[in-house]
Amino acid sequence: MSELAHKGHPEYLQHHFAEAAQQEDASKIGMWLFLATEVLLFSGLFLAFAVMRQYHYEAFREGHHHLNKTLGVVNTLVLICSSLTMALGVRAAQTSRKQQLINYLVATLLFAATFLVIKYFEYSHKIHEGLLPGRYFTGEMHEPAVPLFFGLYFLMTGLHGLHVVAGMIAIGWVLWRGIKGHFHSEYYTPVENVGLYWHLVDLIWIYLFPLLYLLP
Amino acid sequence: MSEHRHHIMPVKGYLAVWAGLVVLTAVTVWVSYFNFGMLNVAVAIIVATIKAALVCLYFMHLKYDTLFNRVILLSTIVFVALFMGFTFIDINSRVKVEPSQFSDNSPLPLPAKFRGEEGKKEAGAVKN
Repeated sequence: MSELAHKGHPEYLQHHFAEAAQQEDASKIGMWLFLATEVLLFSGLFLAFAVMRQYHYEAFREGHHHLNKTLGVVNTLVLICSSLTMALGVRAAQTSRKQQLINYLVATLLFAATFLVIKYFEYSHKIHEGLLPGRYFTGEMHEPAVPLFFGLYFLMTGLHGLHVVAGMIAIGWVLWRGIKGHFHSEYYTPVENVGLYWHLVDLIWIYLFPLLYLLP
Repeated sequence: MSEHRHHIMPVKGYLAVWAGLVVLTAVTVWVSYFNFGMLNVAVAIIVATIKAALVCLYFMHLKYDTLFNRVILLSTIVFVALFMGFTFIDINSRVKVEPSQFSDNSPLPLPAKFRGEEGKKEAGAVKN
């Protein structure tokens, strides 16, 4: 079937593109536009955080002291390492090294899972202390507006966590295609686009981490 | 054709970017122990933005990518700046009509549960 369907052009090139370069450019523009919408989605939450922090400065300071700085640092390093393995995975695809691609993608998945496990421990500790959003908040605080901080904390890190899960699913998909041998130096756009998505997940954490965990 | 299209960065380059990100993470943690007052947020955001630039330029290959993709990212930053900038112009130029009865300076009343003792009494009074 594929012989007939792909007559005169490589199997990875779809019929409506003139050549591979055009297909790749179109695909990457689409990915970058999608990333733009993701940045704008998160910017709403960052803005809410900034405004609420200005209104309830003391409450946000008090809330932030209940976050575990060490776990935040460890998770930051885990995500940076996962970005490195992802970038090296894309490079392996660029240079047609199949086994290397598989190894780096598996490493990225392991780092992502580590991130989620650490996040799970952080969340269960917060839930145990009753530091839940809104009306579920049962912690004892000096400042009345502390539940606002934890509402935003759970919303921002939770949405980021969902992105980590989505990224893992996407990496799993390119890993599966990589094992089937779909990627080589002439065609690796899916690996690159999934890589872009994964780096965005890292980028958002780069801003979340200092704002939530570190600001004195 | 593809030899010209795809810039392949050496592994050393990726490791250098990774090392840079680790060092900058240490820097953000380190500076968080100092109090720069009003500048705390600015310092945190500047360091984060340097890290973000490293990720965008090298890990996301924007340094070697088409102009179009760079424009998409830059325009995203412009729109985020507009969004945040204009909101803060609004927030910071509002005149407080009456002094807040709460412990902080929010112009928005908090739900009764979060108001502390005085707020609760007041909410109860309204109900009765």
